[in-house]
Amino acid sequence: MTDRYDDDFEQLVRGTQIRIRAYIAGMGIASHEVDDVAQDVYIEYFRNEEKRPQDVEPERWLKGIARNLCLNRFRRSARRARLHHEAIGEMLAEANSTADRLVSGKAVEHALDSCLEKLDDQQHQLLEMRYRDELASKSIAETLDSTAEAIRVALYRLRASLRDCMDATLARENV
Amino acid sequence: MTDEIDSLLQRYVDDRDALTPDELAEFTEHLRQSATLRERLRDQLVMHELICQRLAVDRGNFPAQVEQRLRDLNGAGDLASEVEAQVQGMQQLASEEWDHWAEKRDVGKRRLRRVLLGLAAAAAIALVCGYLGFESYGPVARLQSVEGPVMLVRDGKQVAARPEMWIYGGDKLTTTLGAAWELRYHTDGSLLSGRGDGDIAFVGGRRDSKQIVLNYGDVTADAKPQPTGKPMRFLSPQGEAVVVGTKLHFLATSDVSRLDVEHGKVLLRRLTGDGSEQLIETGRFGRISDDQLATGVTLWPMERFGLVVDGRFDNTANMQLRLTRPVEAELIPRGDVQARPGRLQLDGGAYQLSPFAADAVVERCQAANAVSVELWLRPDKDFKPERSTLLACGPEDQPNLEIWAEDDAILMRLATGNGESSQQKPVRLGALPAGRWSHLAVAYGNGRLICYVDGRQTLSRTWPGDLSTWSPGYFMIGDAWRGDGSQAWTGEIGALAVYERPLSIHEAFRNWRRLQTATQP
Repeated sequence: MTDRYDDDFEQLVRGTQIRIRAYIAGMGIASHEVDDVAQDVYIEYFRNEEKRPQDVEPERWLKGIARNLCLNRFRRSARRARLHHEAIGEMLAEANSTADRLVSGKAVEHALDSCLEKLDDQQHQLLEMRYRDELASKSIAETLDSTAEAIRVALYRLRASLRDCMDATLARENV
Repeated sequence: MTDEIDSLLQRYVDDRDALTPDELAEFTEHLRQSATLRERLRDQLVMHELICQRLAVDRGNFPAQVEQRLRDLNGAGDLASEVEAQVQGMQQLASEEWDHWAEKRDVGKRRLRRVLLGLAAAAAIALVCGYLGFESYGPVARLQSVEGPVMLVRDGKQVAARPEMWIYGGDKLTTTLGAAWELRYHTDGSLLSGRGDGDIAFVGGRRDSKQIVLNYGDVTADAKPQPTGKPMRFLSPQGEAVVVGTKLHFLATSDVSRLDVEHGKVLLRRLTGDGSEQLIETGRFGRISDDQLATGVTLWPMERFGLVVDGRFDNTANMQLRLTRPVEAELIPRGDVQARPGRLQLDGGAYQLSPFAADAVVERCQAANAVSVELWLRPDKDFKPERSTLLACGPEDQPNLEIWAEDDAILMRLATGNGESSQQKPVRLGALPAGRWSHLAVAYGNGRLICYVDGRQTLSRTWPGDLSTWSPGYFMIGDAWRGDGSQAWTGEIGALAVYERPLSIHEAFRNWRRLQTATQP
């Protein structure tokens, strides 16, 4: 392997990492494994860059690598019902959603930050507990005197709400 | 979509392993039949990931992770090359010995064979030992970033540290004012970083050693889950911290060691006295002095990055100054004030920060062209001033920064300029109800002034100029330098911090929530 980490590759990583990581997560890879898989994707690309056809854009090539690595991970997994996880991964790889369209935009981070600032105290608290403190829904429920199911529903609605807010924000800014 | 399918989707997004095999089979079938369901699931998974990337503490700087992986792979290639060179050396040696003995006619062939077999066996053993040894003993970590005066000391020799330098057992890092560094451990990617004055030694010769002797200084560790029997360990003059897998801050001075666990669990042990130990968990601290090991909830500060001074008022009125090595900065009382457990009580008096610390605040914030002030405070119930000074920093007649109360409103003036002195108009930050604890955070940086009250943004506007016009002066809490008490602020202050950077909305919200939860009524 060539010992180099040139500007072009670094630019590629910086310019595509949000979308590639989101793509991997969108195939059903667990959050704590997404970055490991994403690193493998870029390493694989770096090692075999010469194999990319000239008419295939680098990001599309990266997604192809990501798809294969995700499916391989499901196949190698010792988890129970791995066949179902693999099947879900294959279906999700072909699916297109509003969030995918948002991620393809350039100002997705800015839009998300802007929408996060519009949340009320309770919503902030819920996100902080789930994503920053990495508490399970059951633990959050105990802290907030609620039920795990209610917490999952609230998080589901919060994610959908943020998606809609980001969609509106990006549409306003024509990004 | 039925409630049942809703529930399956929500549980799957929450935890990919939450569904039973039968539920997963059912969910998979629903997905096959419904493109809408597939889109909704993907929506949720992608949004989940985007939020993780923004909020999770360990998901930042992904490009640097990729770069490090590539460098590690290159490094492994270098190590393999060295082993191969050793093998070739052994082969060359054996070959030379063969030639030597073959030339000696008076050496019996039997003896020759015995010697050569012995040499070959020795070469093979040496090769195996060399390979194993090389794999077992070698560098423990690699410097990722270095800023300012960071020196690497090895075998009594000292060199300026640079990024990508390897750290071996027995090495030491010595740092002074303005220094910042970060390294990554070779075997598991755990991170260790430090700022300012410090003396940090790395012990143990094996590549999987993670034993750090903190003679003095302040380090932050982001440790991956540690292998059983080989945890990361910190030693300080007073204590030992055994890390299982966590994010922590460890601070050592000549008298005190303090461990704050941001995430995870760390075993903290006294090295003197009764040798007692405590398991410090998320959100708690342990403090070892000569006579005790005390623990408590970490209320303050939640984040050390960019922190210049902070005060946790545990029966004393002291601030911690974080310019060189962490040092105590005295708060000089004046008039009717009292230091109580967890708070300063001001009844018409004031506190003055020691002049050295006051000058340091001005110098550091001016250099960074940024400042944040954070307060946890409770105005007196009957307090309705026309005007009372809560905090003032700088010269008496033209403070660099001044926060005061008028009726129940809090106002601020922040001096910025463009080469010559100029004053900005006062701005209203919000309202602080009397008799109730409130969190106030003011952040200036990148040409913007933002204020948060109880985690909620109350002000955000562009703020022209910079802090170049700031001058040394006084740092007063509760009254102006020449105040006679008639315009003194009365109430209680539970915590105070000044940063040389703008606080974020997430920090303001998080800090308010933690203080609110932990403060006794």
